[in-house]
Amino acid sequence: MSRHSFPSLASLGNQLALASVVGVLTYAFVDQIYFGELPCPLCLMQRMGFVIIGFALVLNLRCGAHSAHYGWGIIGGLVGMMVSLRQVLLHVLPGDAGFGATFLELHFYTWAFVGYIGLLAGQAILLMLPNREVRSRSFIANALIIIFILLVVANLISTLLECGVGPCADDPVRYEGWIWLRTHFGF
Amino acid sequence: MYMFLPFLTVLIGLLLVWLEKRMASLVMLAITVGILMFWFRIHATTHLNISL
Repeated sequence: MSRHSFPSLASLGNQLALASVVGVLTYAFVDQIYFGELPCPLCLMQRMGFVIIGFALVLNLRCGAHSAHYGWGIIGGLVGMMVSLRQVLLHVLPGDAGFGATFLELHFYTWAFVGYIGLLAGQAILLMLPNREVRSRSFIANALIIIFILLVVANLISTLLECGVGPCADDPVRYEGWIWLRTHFGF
Repeated sequence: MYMFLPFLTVLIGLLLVWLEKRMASLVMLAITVGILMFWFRIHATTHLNISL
């Protein structure tokens, strides 16, 4: 077997980072659908930050690694990190129960902050690796990209059902867009 | 307002990536980041009543 049949370290790193983004977005949906917690506007922005990082990784995997891809991923991650830090600061006072449920004793926005730090550090490491043969058409890379695209579609539909075309409620408890559809079209 | 918009721009961008239209998808990625930054500023000033 030739050594070229193995993906490069940078390609593996990109796939691993994309897998972690897919994992984060999937668990957000598990919490939304199975545990019935609707995402707040700041939570949606944090999802968006992860989606932007994932987008940059998909660009690397489909079109080859480029500093511009990493750059936009890092900027998206920084904005997402700012949003999650803002939400941490909103609930940091003693006695504040925080927003939503917890996972392993930390709130999701705190985990989001940790996740952004990990992904940004990961992108810094990926930038140091030789960026040859990052482009991948393997089954795993294609599957990850397709799952990621499906998660973006699901987020688009979920946001439309939750908020409609207007602003989302600060503390959402029902799917306003879905109710609007049922009221106007009777299903 | 229009909170679905960045997800829509990302979806269009990802479809462009799949078709290997790199520059067009980079533009969509930049638009998405811009929307997110604008969105956070609007939300922070009007809903959270803080000044950034």
